[in-house]
Amino acid sequence: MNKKISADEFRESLDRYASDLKANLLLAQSIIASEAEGEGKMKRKWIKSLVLALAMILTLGTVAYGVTSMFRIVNWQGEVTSTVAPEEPQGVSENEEPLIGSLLRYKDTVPDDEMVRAWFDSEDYPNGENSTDKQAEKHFRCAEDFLDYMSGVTTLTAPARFPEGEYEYFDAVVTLVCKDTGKLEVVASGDAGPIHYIRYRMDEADALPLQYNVNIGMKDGRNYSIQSLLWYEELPDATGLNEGETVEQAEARGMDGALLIRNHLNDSDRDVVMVRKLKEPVACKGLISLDPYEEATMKFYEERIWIWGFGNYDPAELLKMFNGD
Amino acid sequence: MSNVTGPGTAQDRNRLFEQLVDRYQEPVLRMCYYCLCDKTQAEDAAQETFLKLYRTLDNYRGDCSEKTWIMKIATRVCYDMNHSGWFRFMNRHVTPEMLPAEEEPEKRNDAELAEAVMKLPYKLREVILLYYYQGMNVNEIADALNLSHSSVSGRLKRGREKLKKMLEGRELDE
Repeated sequence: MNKKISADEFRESLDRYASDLKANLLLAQSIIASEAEGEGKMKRKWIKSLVLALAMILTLGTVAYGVTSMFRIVNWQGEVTSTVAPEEPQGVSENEEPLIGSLLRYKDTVPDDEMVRAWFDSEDYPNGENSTDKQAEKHFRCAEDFLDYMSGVTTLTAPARFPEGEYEYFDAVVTLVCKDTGKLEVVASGDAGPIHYIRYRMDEADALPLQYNVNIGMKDGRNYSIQSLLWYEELPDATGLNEGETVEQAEARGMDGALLIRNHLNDSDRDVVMVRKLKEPVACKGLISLDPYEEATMKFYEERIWIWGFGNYDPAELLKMFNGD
Repeated sequence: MSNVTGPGTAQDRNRLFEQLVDRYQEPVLRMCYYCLCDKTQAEDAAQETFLKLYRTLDNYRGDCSEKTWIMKIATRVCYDMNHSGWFRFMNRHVTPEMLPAEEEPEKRNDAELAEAVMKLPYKLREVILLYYYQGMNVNEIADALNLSHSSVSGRLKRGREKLKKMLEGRELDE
């Protein structure tokens, strides 16, 4: 019969083994001092705003950005509609404007279930670079929990199944906004140094899933990313293609259009794009207005989905996740 | 457990933060070490954990224990570090050659158990550590990791089974 290790024995054993790991006696003071000086690590979020995200993805169609002389925009039939790349939005970096760092640092402190509009005073940024929004989020580290949650969601389409095999990691974030008929409760407003903020919360019943991002790493080295996003207009264009990339139409269950992209310049380029026209537009209370005091309403007409398979994948294989093959 | 809810003045805030660091730094550091299997990364992760704790001190609403709250931050930091592209390429597996040569049976057993824990798949390892090392219950772990109760129970069961296979003759008490 096996000897049983109690929780106390487990703890004592691991503590003995790691006994040479010692606390930094000055840690608290050094953190307090550095925060007081306004320094600190910045964590970049790769999607800063819906406008910027979709503009980049639609315009360039790749994770690794690059526009070449053979750039093309295609529609859902794979036909070229333009060879002129729309201008890439120019953001403002923290080097140019230190308050951007304070803005993003503040946003990082807001809990998952809260939404926030934060901004600093400036007349230099008419396009709203002096403000930022954070929507409410739900995080999932287990595919079953994510699919279980998504089974009750009608605005976004989850895969029918995820790849089979042993997972190294699974990470999913669902971004939530408030339905236009729902109620946003202001939980706090004020200033955090130079940053002004208004923080909101909503009832779970008023939450509208607006997008999800799923990242999967398999033990055998396969990696996938899937993104679904509601979009506020009906766009005829499907995606941009870089030099050498080819596109073919495909069928995807429940989708109104699907394209497979092949012959990427690099492995991190997206492989599949899909669209689903919503039967009825869905509306939310927007925190997406540039005016921090305005609670605009936004309508969404389409769902767009992108799939990345990192490595040499046949994009048709990726589509099986949604077709349930 | 201290009554941590929304500190008042900046002085109160800093004093509270110092108390939390004093109380939890070593448990967090060791938790990070066993999650990341790397002492240098563990120190970075622990520092990042307390930095995030300081920045979010005002958000604590007392809806979970302070340990659950801090472990939630720590596990998220470790998960992000563990899954960063750069970190994944580092060889972080513990091999017998990397362990100090130990003569005493107790130290040999400690090394065997620690090595086995660090060989567990990440998602089983973090649940085993939170349950047995940090003494959290299934509900607290589910809250900290944003998992369902059944997912946590399932991972605990699979973690125990894997450890049992590795620790010939020994197994974790349920």
